[in-house]
Amino acid sequence: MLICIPEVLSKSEVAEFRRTMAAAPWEDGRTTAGSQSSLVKNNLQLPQCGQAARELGDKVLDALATSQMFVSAALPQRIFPPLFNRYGAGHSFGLHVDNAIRGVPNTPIRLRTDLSATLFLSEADEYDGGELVIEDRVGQQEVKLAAGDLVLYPSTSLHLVRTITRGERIASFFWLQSMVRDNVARALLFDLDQTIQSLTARFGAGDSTCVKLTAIYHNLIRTWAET
Amino acid sequence: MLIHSPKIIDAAEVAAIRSILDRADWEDGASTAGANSSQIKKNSQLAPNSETSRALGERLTSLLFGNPQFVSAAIPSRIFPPLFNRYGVGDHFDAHVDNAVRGDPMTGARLRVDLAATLFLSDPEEYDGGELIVDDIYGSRRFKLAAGDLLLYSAGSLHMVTPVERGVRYASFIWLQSMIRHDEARGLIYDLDVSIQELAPRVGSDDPDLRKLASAYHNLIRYWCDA
Repeated sequence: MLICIPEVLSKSEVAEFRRTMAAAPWEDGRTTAGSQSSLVKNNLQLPQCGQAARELGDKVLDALATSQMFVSAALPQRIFPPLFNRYGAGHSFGLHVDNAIRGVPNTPIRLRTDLSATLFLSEADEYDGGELVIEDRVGQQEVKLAAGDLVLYPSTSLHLVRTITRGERIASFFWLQSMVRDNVARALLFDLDQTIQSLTARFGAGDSTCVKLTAIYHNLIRTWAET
Repeated sequence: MLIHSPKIIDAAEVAAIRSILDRADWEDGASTAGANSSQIKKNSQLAPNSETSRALGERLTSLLFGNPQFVSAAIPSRIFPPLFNRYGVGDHFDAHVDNAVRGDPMTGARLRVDLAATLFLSDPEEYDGGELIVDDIYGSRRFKLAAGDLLLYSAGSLHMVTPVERGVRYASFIWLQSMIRHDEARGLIYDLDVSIQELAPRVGSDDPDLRKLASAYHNLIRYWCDA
């Protein structure tokens, strides 16, 4: 399941993020990479415990909490504090898989990375290259979204960021543990929820079939969710 | 899980079965009871391996498997040859759960008993007492259904038939292994099918939301079934 969620941040919020980030110090992106990833990772990041990353990360979390589509697709239980990266010309992140377990720095909190997310903060025409490429058994999917849009994909996938050949690509990225661990079950819940939303818009929230479908959705969550 | 299917067989079929039952040989119902149930069971049965019982059972099986509501509710994978019983005045079957596994002595075929069903073959006014009481997750429920109606319930729920005080109560009882082992899962799949059947005439069979619900239905079966 690869889901693109448009306009998680508005253009003006993106501009504010970009201003804050332009004034912040950056460090080598390998500080948060595992041993295999650090061999293929070549970019910059905001220090994860720095003020800029914390402040902007909280704003990302606030935006996610109000995105119905994000909540429906991810059913998040715990979200890793969002990180921020910057790829200049020549930067890339070779093929890798995300660590299965992440500890939140300076806390005892750990999470299983069920889903990975990239929130684009540069417009697609600001840079060449820099596509997020997600591999599966039959091929590759390329993702390059507008600033403010987010892509959500299973952390089980091998993925890479292509070399930047012009300009600069700025993004936020994070992982999350979902209340529904199984990708198949979570995708089914997302499809069902989206269909119920559509039917509710057509027939009204009090429609008896919509009420029954909503009960089925919640009972499926009850069956599958870990809280 | 408790599902009442009205008129699963029509009046002519009930009459045809009754005319056979009225002149059949009956034996003590304790013959198919487990060690515990035989203490508390007092009724008569058609001998399970008799030609009459087998022929009626096959006829009933083909009617049930051809009935969309029955198939939707039970999602049957295997059926034990239906048995037929007769409760005269003073007969009863105290509270019990059905055996978990049944072997067919004729064929050696075994099944896990997920579901039990009672097909009522006498109308309520033909007898007093003889109520089927089933303890389900929402409490104890009493049933005395019309001839031709079927009650499907979890084989694991405690159930009983109260003493008959007047007349004769005929019924067939059926054990099934379902492709969906767990009651909650099977119940959700059934509820979804009911909602889809409700919605179909309102929106038309080529409606995109209806098709998405149908795909969620099939994907839930795929997720949970043992074919």
